[in-house]
Amino acid sequence: MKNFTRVLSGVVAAAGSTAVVTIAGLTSANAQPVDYSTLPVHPNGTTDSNAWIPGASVLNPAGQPGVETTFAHRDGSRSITDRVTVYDNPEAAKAAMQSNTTGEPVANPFTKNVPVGEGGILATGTSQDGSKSVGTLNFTNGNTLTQVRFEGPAGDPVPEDMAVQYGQSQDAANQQKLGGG
Amino acid sequence: MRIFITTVSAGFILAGSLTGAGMANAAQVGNDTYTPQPVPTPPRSEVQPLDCQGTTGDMGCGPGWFWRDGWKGWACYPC
Repeated sequence: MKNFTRVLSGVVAAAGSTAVVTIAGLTSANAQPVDYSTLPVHPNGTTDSNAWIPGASVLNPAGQPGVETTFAHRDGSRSITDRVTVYDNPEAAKAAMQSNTTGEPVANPFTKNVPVGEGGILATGTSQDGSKSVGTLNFTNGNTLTQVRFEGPAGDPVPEDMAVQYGQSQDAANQQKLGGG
Repeated sequence: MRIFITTVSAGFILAGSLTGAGMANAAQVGNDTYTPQPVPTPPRSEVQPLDCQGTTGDMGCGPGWFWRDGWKGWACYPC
């Protein structure tokens, strides 16, 4: 009986050690920093074209975990600035969406709810001086806030279907790579 | 007599040829007097793309569309 007790204690101890090692491994894996630079969706994929050229990604824009990448049209007439930021909780992301803007405000905006993420809003208008068309797409999903800014020639705003498709692709990428924030 | 027959035959042959020629040309008589009528064309601006004039254009975009390098790259866009 003593031998049995000793063996049983050994098994329990071994199992405990294994559990600790496994948990430590999981913790270590979860602590790996996310490579945000791979997060922005390339517009060439959503437009099935070679029109867009990515600029350098800026990590942690405005001091918040995340990434911002600007894509320029090959003829220099248009740009898409894609920013994804990660917050501590969904409420903080939603609050930031209400207060945060990327670039100057849209003048004479036409605002529309769109089926992108949570609370997707597309606003189209012009720059303050009227020299450019400007469109902004903002949405959250979990802890993440995505803000996309489309700038182009005056009188040639971003097509709504393209903006929505791009946003949905970015939302899917957020879900896949960040696990919904 | 032989000379007479030969002369008459030659005359018929010649007359037949001329008659045939006349019949052949009968269908083309109108061409000599045909005057082409000018086809009316709508006024067209040189700077406006052909596709936006209601024709299909080179890329077959269709009326009201215009082939250019825009938000989606090279594609048909509304005029």
